Amino acid sequence: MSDQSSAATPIPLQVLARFWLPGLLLLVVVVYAAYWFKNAFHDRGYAPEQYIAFSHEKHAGEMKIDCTFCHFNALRGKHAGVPPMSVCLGCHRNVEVKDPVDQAEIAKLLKVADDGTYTDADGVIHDGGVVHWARVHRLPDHVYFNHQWHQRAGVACQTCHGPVQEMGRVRQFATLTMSWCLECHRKNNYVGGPGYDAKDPSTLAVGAPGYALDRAREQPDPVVEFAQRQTRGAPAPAIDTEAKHRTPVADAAPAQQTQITVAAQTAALLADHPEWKDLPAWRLAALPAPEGGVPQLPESHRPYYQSRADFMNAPTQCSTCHQ
Amino acid sequence: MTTSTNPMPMRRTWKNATELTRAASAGDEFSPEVAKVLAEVRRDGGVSNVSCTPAGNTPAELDALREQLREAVPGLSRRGFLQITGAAAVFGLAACAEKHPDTLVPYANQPEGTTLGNALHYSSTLRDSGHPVAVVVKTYDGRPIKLDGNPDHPLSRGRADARTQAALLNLYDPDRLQDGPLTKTAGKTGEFQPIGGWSKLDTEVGAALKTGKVLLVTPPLDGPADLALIADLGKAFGARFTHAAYSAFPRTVEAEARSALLGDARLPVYRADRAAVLLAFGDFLGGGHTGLAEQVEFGDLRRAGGQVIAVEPTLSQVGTCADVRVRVAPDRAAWAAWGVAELVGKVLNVALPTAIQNSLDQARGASLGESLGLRAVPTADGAVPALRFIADRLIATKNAGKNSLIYAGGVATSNRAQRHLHLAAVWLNAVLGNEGISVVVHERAPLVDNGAFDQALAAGDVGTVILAGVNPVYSAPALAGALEKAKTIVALSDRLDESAALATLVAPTAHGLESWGDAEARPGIVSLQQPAILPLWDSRPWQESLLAFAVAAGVAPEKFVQDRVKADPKVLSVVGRQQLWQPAVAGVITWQQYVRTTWLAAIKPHTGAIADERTFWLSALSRGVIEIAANVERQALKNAEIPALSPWSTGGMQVVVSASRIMGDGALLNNAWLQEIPDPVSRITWDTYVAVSPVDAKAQGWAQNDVVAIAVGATPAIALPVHVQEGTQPGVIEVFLGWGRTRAGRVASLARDHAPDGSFSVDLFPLVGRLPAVNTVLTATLTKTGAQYKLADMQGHDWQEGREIALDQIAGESGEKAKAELWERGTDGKAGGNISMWSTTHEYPGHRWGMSVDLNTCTGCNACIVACQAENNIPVVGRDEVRKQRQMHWMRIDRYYSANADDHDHLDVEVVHQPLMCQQCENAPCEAVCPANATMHNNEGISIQVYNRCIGTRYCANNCPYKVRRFNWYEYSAYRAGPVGSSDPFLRIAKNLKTDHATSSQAELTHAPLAMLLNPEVTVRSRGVMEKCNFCVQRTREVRGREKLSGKRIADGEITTACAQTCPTKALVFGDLNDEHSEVVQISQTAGAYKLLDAELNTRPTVTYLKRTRQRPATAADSDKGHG
Repeated sequence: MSDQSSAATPIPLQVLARFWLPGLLLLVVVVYAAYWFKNAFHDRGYAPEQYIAFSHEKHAGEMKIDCTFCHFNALRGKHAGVPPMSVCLGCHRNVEVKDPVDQAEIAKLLKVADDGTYTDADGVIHDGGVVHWARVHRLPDHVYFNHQWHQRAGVACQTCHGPVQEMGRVRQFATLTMSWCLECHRKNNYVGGPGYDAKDPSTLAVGAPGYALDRAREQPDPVVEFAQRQTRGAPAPAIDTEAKHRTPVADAAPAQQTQITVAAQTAALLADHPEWKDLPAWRLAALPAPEGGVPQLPESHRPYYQSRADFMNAPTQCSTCHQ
Repeated sequence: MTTSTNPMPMRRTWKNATELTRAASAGDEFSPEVAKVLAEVRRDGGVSNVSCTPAGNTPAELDALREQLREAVPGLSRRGFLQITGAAAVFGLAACAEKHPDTLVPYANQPEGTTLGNALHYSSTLRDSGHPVAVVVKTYDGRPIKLDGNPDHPLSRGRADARTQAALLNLYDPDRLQDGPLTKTAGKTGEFQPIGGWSKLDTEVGAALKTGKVLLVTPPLDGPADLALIADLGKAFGARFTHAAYSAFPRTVEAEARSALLGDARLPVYRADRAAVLLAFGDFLGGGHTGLAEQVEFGDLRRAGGQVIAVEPTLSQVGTCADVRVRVAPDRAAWAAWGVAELVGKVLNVALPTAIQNSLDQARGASLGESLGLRAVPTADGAVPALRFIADRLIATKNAGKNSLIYAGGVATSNRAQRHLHLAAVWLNAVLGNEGISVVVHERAPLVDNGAFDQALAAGDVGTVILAGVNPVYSAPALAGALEKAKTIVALSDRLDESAALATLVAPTAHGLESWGDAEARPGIVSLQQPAILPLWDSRPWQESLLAFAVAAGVAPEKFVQDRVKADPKVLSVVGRQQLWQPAVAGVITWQQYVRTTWLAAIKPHTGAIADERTFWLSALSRGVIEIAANVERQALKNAEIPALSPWSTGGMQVVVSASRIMGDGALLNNAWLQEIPDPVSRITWDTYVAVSPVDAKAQGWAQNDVVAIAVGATPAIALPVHVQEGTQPGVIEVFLGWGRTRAGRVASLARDHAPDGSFSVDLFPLVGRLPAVNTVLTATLTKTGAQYKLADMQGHDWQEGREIALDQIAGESGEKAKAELWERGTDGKAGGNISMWSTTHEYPGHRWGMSVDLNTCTGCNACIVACQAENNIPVVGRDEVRKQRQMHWMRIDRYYSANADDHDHLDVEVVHQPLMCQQCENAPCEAVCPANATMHNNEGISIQVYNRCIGTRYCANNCPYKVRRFNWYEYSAYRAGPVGSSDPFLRIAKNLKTDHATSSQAELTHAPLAMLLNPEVTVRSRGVMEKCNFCVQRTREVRGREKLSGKRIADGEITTACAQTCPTKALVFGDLNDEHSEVVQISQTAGAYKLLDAELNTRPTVTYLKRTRQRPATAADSDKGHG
């Protein structure tokens, strides 16, 4: 019986009948492995070495410089962007750093700016007088992501980038996969605005007349609690002239006074010129003094703004020095 | 330690062993114990020495790593251990490669007003199309990526033609001269080599210019600064200086006709928008003499219900748009024109010139029209003889107090054989009162080609010839011999073209997007040109070279000179800066300074309101265009002696030599986008052909794709493939100029020389020599060679076969009724109550994007296709792939013929151009069949395509009734080697829009400049992915972003697609269907609107078509009313 029937049954079926259990197990293992590898190859944790060992921990953590002071582009457009060299030089041409390790890095930075070119560890020559930074975060080409929209909707930088203020070297915090995007969008209903019900089109707020994304800010960001962002109307924090790593500026004592004056004059200027409302505060502060009025910047700051080049290299927000 | 049995989350990964050990210091992912141990391992060394390349690790090394880790973490569970060592091994062996090889390069100083990722727009003016077109250049990160018309310019009105759209590709053309000025090694015969800098070139040219006659050849000029420069140079060099304007297609014959009849040789501007009837004896749209402005105004004519009558031997672009088309043999066209003139003259009591009247009287048999073989025009009152019909229309228009426009221009009629045609047109325009209204001569007419070049060369005593941006050797090969007699030839050219090859010194010129300049597109409308990018390579504008030459020759006036500036070496170290500094270092003023000075002196006084120079200059630059006064001069008919009409011949195959409707004079032949644009009439790409009549084809046994040898007089026979062109007069063939350049660049040359089965990009200029010099209508003999050549035809089938696809109607017949019928037959369950398979309905709570397409104004000019190509990063596929119908254009313009049932030979075809993009169906057949959900309907009414979901089953394309989906059979955007099975080598150049990897290094980009052209907003698709029109979803997204931020709903017209934006005749309108006041909704509700195939298939398209309306008033009744 067995001879005849085994001859009649096709060989693949015989194999299947005999090895179905190991086969099934193998299938499970393969699927599991595939899943593991898929996740393993996410870029989470990717933290490339940079030519300059820039520390977010120091700048954003210790010195509490607002993210958007350097990455000002995140407020204005799609990309947060790497800050222009002038932002680095605006401070580092003027402040003195005591830590020798930091000094070496800053010397490297200044050398790049002065020489206009540098050779990296791999022997590649980079030109343009700027540091060529290794890219950490990267979305695929087909993804449209806009920093400005998310920032305006009240999403904290840390929601996606993690505790950058604690990172010595920046690493990728989130998977940046589509499921990760959707998770947040579904949970917080960012798609259609607050209160949107997909089944009831009338609840769609985005794009409807009178809708402003700022409304979303009324609800606190649900993912990460972020240190309060400094806004223009916020009271100026106390001045710490003895702050580590910083040289006390000459007119530090009346700085608070200056800041109040600037704020008042800025308000007056904006009343006269509402079209300037989107100009950054530093830009307003550098405008010439109104007739008969006091100059908006103390004389000691003038050298920053003597020429156009200086102007671009000057600190771009008062709070950089006057914290 | 035992408390942390599984200290690691599964997803934590590292790039290499070094990183794994360092990860401990990051601290956040490990338990403190493991972190501590790992830190110790790291400190002790050893582990971090593992190489990051698979080959760098022996198995022993990896085993050592594992062992070391196991010893170091004694309390670790077996599972945790495996995870650590497993990950380390995996990355040690396989995944060490960096995931992000690219770098981020910041600005040194971010310019004020810039935001990363936001586009900047500059107003400028470009001449790539052969006419000045005011454009707005969209740049990302300093790279122009899209050109659009300047909406403030009264001529372009925000629109641009196909060649201007394609000018972007010229900027990044890798075949432009890249290595700075060149000289020949040994006199006129040697090889070119770099001369060693601009100052050396200037010195050499300056030395040559010190003595002898100087001949400067430029294209026809109109810009105030250009003209001022020529005048200054004339003063500087004195009597030994001659300036000649040269164009491949001079309007000499037209000027001679105006001179004979009106006593004024200045060339007019033709304004179709001021006419109610356009009578075209030449191609008003694609003839080679008209540009964007005429197309825009043609749209006005059409929208106002104007009538277009074409009288022509071959089917031209204006012929395809004509309401009434009458065929006439080329040698009888002038007779027909004067026949119309006679009828018009009789009514208006104006006598014809005596010789003409005598000719007509002698020739007249039973009827002139019948002798000429003209057909009768069918009207509501029955058939009317053509000449009578046309004359009646012209008279009726005049009696109604309106104007007409008689146009005889275009390359096909720009020879002295057709001088009587031009005379008739001038005479008719004058008699009908069109002079000064639809035919306008301004007091300041632009500088045109007046034959001075030919005369100066004929004199034979020229010392130095400067060819500034012209290529006469290609378009007038006979001039080469005369040119070579000159002692020195200096070519200012962007490539080593046919003329530059003869030169001894070559100064590379910058592209229009890299240069300053100005233009007066029409008298009184001046526009500025400003650079939108630093010169990519070592080049300078030709005007700047002329300034430097004059200074070097020692004849320059004071104003050419400035104090020498010592350049900062650091500034010069940046690529592209050197050439900007070169004039200042040499002590010559820059062309920018010259333009600015000229404008402040000549243009600013016209704008009284602005006092401040800087404000004037900045606002002029920002707006791009200023309108100043230019008086119109009206001309009256003078009694002039005109020779008698020459008799028409009776035999022979007459040759019509036209300009290529796509390529024009061939200057843009190296442009792969234009090469792949189908001809508006024949729909053929990549090759030229000879168009023959269906009657002749039948009689002579020629079939489509047969190769024939064409012999004209004594010139050697030229082989061309046959295209049987409906609508061609029997006994007439048409060939096209502008092809077959030998030195235009790699795309043009490879397309010409190296296609596997030969190719037919053939130069026909040798046939005609210098165009106006052709005194008689050419006749040819055609012989079949027996060879076959498959022309790359983009449209498989030219007829609708009774289906309702591209609809037309006769004006006055009830459009409402037709529309109602169409909708009632619908199967969507609304009207007919039929069953629909579609159960879901879509909701569009916010916007609902839609488009309307007016078949009545579409001229088939293809501007939309190139605009779409530039906007959406659409690759070029090449001739072979087009033959397989694999072109990637997201939209196309189908051209359908229709003919009366008794017109078996299709001689009097009527044409509808139908732009066809994705119809964004509500009941989309494609969406239903996608197994991957890669195409789906969004809540703004767009059928979107998700590229990274697409698995390439092509079910969607097979199920699409409109055939608008495109599949990437190969990685058209990236590959260099050509597709498997294709030996089309030009693909390597034409297609590699994308480099292997993104880079920001200037040096690398100059080797792969085409990468800079890509729109960063749009994904570059790869092989195996379906793609299609998505209504420029990146644009709707961008403006919707503004809406989100401002909280204000965007206004109608604020968003538009690339095709609708550029359409010269405004046939395409895009907008929000949820806004009942939007233009697109208004248009969609007019009579004659229909949805394509909706009645048959219930697809419910979002695109609405308006029927082509043919204006055929009942002539007799009208004219009776008019003058009876």
